[in-house]
Amino acid sequence: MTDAEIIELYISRDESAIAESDAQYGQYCRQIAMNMLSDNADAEECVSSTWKSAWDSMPSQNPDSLAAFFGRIVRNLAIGKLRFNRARRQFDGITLLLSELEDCVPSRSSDAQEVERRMFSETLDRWLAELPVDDRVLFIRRYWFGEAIKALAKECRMTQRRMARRMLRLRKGLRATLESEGIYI
Amino acid sequence: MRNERVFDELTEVSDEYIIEAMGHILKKSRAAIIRWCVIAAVLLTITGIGAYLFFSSGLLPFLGGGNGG
Repeated sequence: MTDAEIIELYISRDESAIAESDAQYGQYCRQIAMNMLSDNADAEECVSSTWKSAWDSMPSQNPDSLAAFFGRIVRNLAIGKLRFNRARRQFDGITLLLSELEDCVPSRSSDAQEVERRMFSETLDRWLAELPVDDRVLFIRRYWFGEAIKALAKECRMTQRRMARRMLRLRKGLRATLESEGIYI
Repeated sequence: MRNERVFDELTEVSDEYIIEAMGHILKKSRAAIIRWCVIAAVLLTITGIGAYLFFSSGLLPFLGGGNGG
């Protein structure tokens, strides 16, 4: 089934959209969640929530690419789950103290945050566009898909140390670009 | 934390880069499947040729203990 056909199922509120999504993109989403969470049950929970989230958002959003759309949802859910697990583990410790102190820290307005976010996003896209394809693909696979350095090194037939150095060079490049654009995080 | 924010912001990277990286992942996994298929085919061929030579060489009666006599 093509992406357009699956999207059509979502828009017409046909529940088989979820089964089709799982058949087509289930393994892909599971892999992204597993790369970040390293836990089967948590990853499975994120994937199930991905279909629900897609179901809720699909009539208002019409994605060009389902792989990017589902990947983005599952990635966000996995990050949320990671934070939830970490907070639960450290609930009695520093996390609780920090969460209490959050009340005293004035937060920036949501407009300012949105402008910053857009600036970061545009700079990142520009930086990625200027990279050689190999570097760009490696960066995305490592920091978007969450693939392990070991796996990437094996695939590129280089040592882990060399791959780590290559990643460090990329990160430094991104940092320099962000600084040159006046973006400080 | 700052590094977590960068990680969050990365989620919004353009679709084209995600699709490009996914294409590479799929290409690599397809290449791995083809490699395993070729290895399996070579092994099967070698086993087949070996079995053919073995059965056609007339060694079977000696290995099987002849006709039991």
